[in-house]
Amino acid sequence: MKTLTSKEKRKMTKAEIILQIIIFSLGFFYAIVYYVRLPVPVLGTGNLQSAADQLFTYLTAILTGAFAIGIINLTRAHANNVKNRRPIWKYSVILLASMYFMAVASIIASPFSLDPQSTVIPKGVYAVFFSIWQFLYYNVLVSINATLFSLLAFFIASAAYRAFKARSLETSILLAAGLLVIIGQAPISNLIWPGFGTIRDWIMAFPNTAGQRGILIGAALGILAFSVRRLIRYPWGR
Amino acid sequence: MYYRGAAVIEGSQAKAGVATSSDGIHWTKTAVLTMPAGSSGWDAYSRQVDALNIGGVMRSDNTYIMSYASIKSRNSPAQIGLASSSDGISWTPYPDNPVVTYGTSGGWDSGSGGVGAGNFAGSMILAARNQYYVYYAAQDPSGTFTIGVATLPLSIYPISQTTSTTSSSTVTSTVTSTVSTTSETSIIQQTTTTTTPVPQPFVLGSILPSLMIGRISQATLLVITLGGIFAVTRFASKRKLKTRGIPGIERLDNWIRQAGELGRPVFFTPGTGTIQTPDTLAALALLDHVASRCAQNGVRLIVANADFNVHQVTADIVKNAYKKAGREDLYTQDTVQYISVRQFAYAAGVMGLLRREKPALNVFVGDFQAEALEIAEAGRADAIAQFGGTSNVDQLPFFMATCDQTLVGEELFTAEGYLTDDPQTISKLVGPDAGKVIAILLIAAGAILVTLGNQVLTTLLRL
Repeated sequence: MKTLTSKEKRKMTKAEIILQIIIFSLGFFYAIVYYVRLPVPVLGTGNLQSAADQLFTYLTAILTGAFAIGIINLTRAHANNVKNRRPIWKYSVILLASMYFMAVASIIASPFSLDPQSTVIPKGVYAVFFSIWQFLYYNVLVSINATLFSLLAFFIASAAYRAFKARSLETSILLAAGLLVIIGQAPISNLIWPGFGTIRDWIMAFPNTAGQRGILIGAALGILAFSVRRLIRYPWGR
Repeated sequence: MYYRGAAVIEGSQAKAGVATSSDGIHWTKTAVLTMPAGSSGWDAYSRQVDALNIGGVMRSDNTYIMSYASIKSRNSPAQIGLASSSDGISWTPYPDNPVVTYGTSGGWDSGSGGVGAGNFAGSMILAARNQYYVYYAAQDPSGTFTIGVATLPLSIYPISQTTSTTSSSTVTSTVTSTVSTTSETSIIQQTTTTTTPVPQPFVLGSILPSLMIGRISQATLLVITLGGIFAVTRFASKRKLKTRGIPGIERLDNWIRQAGELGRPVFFTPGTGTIQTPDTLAALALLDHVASRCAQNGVRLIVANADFNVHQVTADIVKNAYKKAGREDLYTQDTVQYISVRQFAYAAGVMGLLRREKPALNVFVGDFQAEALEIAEAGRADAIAQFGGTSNVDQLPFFMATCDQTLVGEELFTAEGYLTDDPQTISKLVGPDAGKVIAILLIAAGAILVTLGNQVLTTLLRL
């Protein structure tokens, strides 16, 4: 359904115009840096490339400030869960406690410690927090991460079951190709018939690669066009 | 000794250090190498995360020269650059890096995609016979490593022991060497051609030649393309144009309306990409539309983010949409939620949200990695409808299998144009299409010329 009409559009506000000018100027500046090599000092920072690097560092620093806002949002959302005794409030307590405890342990004693040589923090305190940090990181976080990652195996199986149903000509071709690749990939395939490996290689090298490249080239062209649109028009909220 | 290491933490980046020893057995770490942070070019990602994948270091007089590998974005193959230093600790990158680029797709040094700096596992540099030799180990798509060699002119970093005979601004050198097999995967057998632009000393009045260094063919092409885009956009804005339509995208508004009728929320996530990821930016443009429709239909929208900068922008978009529709009452602090920057913590958070909130429509559009299938499968268990979209070809099959409607590749970047009748917006789609036509013609011409053995176009447009 076509929905947004020209009547719904409004003129850009002053703030949006200023923002658009900044977006365009920065985009143009980085394009210039990419295409032009000017070995002359710029604003005492070395050449144009160095100036761009400096600017990028400042921008990254500014963006990193937003991290605090993310943490504040997370804290407020889960504190509200606890305050209002929502059904999941117990999980929110665990989340907040583990997040802040891990942050403190990391700052005191971890590879990211503010005092890695333990010059200010007493060695005993460092040792205690380091063992806590190690436990939380390796025994809890890494294990949970690995568990969630391994769930993929089951999700792939259920998704493949749905995708490999011969409902039409296209899905039948997909089913046949999928089966041949699975058989070709299995270690036993060579013993059944050596040709399975060859068929698998052919499917992966030609139809599969051709299809993927088609999508990639299309996406690359889409990104090019999208970037141009973003540079000349305030992206959203209009 | 120079060495490379990283913290024993998942996601930690490699850094390089110096250690000294008097007996070659007992070593003392003395310093960590530094390089200016941040970059807009070939090593953007490596510099952003402050990684230094050191290859080899050579010394001549009082200058140290290092080869190192870097990547442009999280999933791009690595390339090799050079840097110089007077103390061996603080390094300055060579301005026209990379000096060794990854090879043509499918080739022995093309990388397997998504392997990052592992593509070029190691390198070393030495100077001999009036040129530099960079030896490097590279990976082909099957993951097999091969050692290759590239030559570079001495004029990059002139050293006194040898005399550079190179004076032109661009040097093309080719070297082929064959060495007997040492093992199955370490064979020096390849031919590498490297084109290295050499910076000219700046002299007032010779600014034009300075501008000509490097990517002038590409810049010219870009200007022509942008001119074409602008002209076609102007032409199209005065005409009533119709878009061909993406099958199913019209259903998005119906689904949102149905969510309103059912009294259930709509869920949206832009994935795990950063604010610099094109897919994420395209997702934000689509969020603008989804949020507006939700606000107009009185539907509660829930947005989950993995990146804190994206979180800020999505909060702004959704808040504005509700404000514009006069439904600020629907915007609460639970509307836009920051979950976690960690991939699977984010996936777990999203899966929990889907299970608890039971949305009537899930919109998964943006940059997704392995978590795509997990959240889409979790969503499918409860949701009425799912709308997916990404340009990541590895995750697209999962969305195709689990979503009712999927935006494939380029469709993601043009979706906003298909949701409007406004001729101005449609004309902005038509204009860039002119650029695409130019790009497609160049790709076709390049493919034909290369097939016929002619390298003119590829040489002209090489980075």
